[in-house]
Amino acid sequence: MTAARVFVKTGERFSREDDGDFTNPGVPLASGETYNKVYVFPTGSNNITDFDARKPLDSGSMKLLVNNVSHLCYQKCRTLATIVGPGRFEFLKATSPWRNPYRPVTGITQDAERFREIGWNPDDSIRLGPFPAIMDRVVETPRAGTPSETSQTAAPGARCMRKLVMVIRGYRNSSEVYPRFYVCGTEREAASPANPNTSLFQIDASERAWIEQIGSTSVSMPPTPLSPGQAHIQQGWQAYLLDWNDAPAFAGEYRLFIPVSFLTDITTVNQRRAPTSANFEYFVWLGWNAEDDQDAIHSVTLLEVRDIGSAEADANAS
Amino acid sequence: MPIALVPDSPSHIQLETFDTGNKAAARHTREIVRNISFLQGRNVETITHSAPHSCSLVQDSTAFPATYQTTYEFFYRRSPGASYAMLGVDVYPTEHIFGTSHYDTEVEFNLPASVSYRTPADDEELNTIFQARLISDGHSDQSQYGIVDVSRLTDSVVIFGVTASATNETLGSLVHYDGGLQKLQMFELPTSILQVGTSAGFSTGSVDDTWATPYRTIVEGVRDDSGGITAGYGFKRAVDQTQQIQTRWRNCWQIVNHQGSAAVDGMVNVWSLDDSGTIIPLDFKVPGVDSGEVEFWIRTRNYFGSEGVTPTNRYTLYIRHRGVAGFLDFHYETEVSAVTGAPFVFLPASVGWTTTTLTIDLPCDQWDLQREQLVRFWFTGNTDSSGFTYISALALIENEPT
Repeated sequence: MTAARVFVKTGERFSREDDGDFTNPGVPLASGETYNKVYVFPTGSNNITDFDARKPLDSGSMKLLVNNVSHLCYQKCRTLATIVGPGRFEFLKATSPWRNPYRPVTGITQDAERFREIGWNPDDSIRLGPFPAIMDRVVETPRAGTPSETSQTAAPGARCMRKLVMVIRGYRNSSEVYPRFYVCGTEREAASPANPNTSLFQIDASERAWIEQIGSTSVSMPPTPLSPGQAHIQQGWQAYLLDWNDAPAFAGEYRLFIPVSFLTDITTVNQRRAPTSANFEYFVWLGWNAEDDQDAIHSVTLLEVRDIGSAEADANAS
Repeated sequence: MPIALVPDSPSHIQLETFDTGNKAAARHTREIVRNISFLQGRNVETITHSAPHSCSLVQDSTAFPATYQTTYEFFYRRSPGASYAMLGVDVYPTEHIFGTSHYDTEVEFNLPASVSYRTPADDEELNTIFQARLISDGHSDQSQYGIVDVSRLTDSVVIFGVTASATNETLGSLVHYDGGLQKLQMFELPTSILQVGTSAGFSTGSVDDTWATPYRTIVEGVRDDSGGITAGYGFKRAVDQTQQIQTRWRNCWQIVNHQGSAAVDGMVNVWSLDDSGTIIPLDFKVPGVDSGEVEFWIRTRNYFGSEGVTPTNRYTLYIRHRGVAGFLDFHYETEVSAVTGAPFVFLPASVGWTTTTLTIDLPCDQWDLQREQLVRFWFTGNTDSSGFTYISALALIENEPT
């Protein structure tokens, strides 16, 4: 498993009172120094007139203004997509007369014992986007003596897109079988992730997903590494594969949190896509399959977040 | 198109460079202005990205004529300085719906009333960036709407200029013929920070950075868009724009559904509250799913607050509805600490589609390494009399006090 330390190097809050062992500080402060929740202009005020011409501007005031702008950069995460449904999988099967039969996708192997393939068609996947990318994360130089970091594949200094989390509200009908979810990202040209010529983004497989079983506090899946789909890697692309093998067996309603962290160097993609523009768009795909057609997806939300699901969150796993 | 002037990531500013007690230097202001430009030019807002199951006509397509037509409406509050927005749809292949028969899917969109259409100039290259159809290309009539034919399983996006200064919520709509939609989407494009104060549409959200260079003095400047050479200029402008970003660049969650047709489909796939007499979940008509199990998330923003005061993030919930009178409850719970609330709003009876709003203050300071500021929410309600209250759009738009 590869791991890359990616953190918000810019646009980060300066500090938190409750940092604890937060390992990704944006701008280091001296011990005990905090600027969180300090605002030059509180709600309802209009202090622009405080800045008069012909008077020197104090560097301390500038410090606060910088803090405010940085705080805004940190807080302005977007709500990207919301899906109602698609519902119980039995309604998405190929048995309906007005749907095409399931169409296998050439070149993708499958776990024939339990799962059918992901066809990446409207029956078993949905494409979200395009979204304008924001690249305000930077891959950090790995720390010596830390194997999980020195094995990282993304080059230090590479600029990465903002981290996302996909939240799925779903239903698992049987504790004996479980659904499987694939999440990946594509460029504009990609008609489908199944296209082997499609360029997809490298995904940080060190991210952790977790599950909350609704109505029970005793059964939950702690943050668990996502595995790249091995068959898909052979085609030059990756997808998150959420494998519930390690999860406690349960049946019922659940909330599934899947961090989506792309490590692809945005500069490279930009050169391929639009050399003259720093704008960049991308799609996020969600594919699913399950042996039990009573399983269901009730709703899906895709959000920009800051540090959800990172490997550093393991300390909080329990 | 001077895209390169807009930073595509915020700058890294070392606090150590600010020595309290000393005078500030212009080199400090440069990075501030660059970060403001990043926020206004890149960190643009998604208006809606909705994929309700009943967007698609697939489920009931056998019952519909091939010329079926339906309408979607969505709420839009223009961000200051936003110059373009994109409306996109994903379309089911008609073979997927009607067997081997193929029909083009036709989508007609209508711009919100307060937003005027503007043909993008040739050198703006928006179609290159997004590989989208401009509405001036093909089927558009260069007025307030455009029509796009979609003939395969693909997306089709259209880009239009938004040049009005109106920032209040307004409605746009999309009429969909034939075929089936899997998704519809609208977001403001990250090209809003191209010019300063030279033309309508650009002046409301931008800062000229020519003054903020090393070895120059910090100039006071002007706050407003007075036009001319001084527009968007100076330190006051930077401070003002910081406040604007705090209050008027709004986080937005929105889901939309088609409005159905009583004559054709009996409104069977339109979201509704029924007259069961008790408070029940809003029925999102998800196949095989109890509506009580449909829920959503938003990451609130912690903009305001001070020590000793619990900060909140203010939103307005917009509800597009018709039918008998009813009540809609908005339930929320933070993922961390389980802070809960359930404000509700009365929806008056209406023969046609109408809008009702509810102001909501959501918690925004719940934090841990996994679930930072995530708030989960869901809807319940009941009707006030016999019949149904139909709902076609729900929008939760940030509305911080200005």
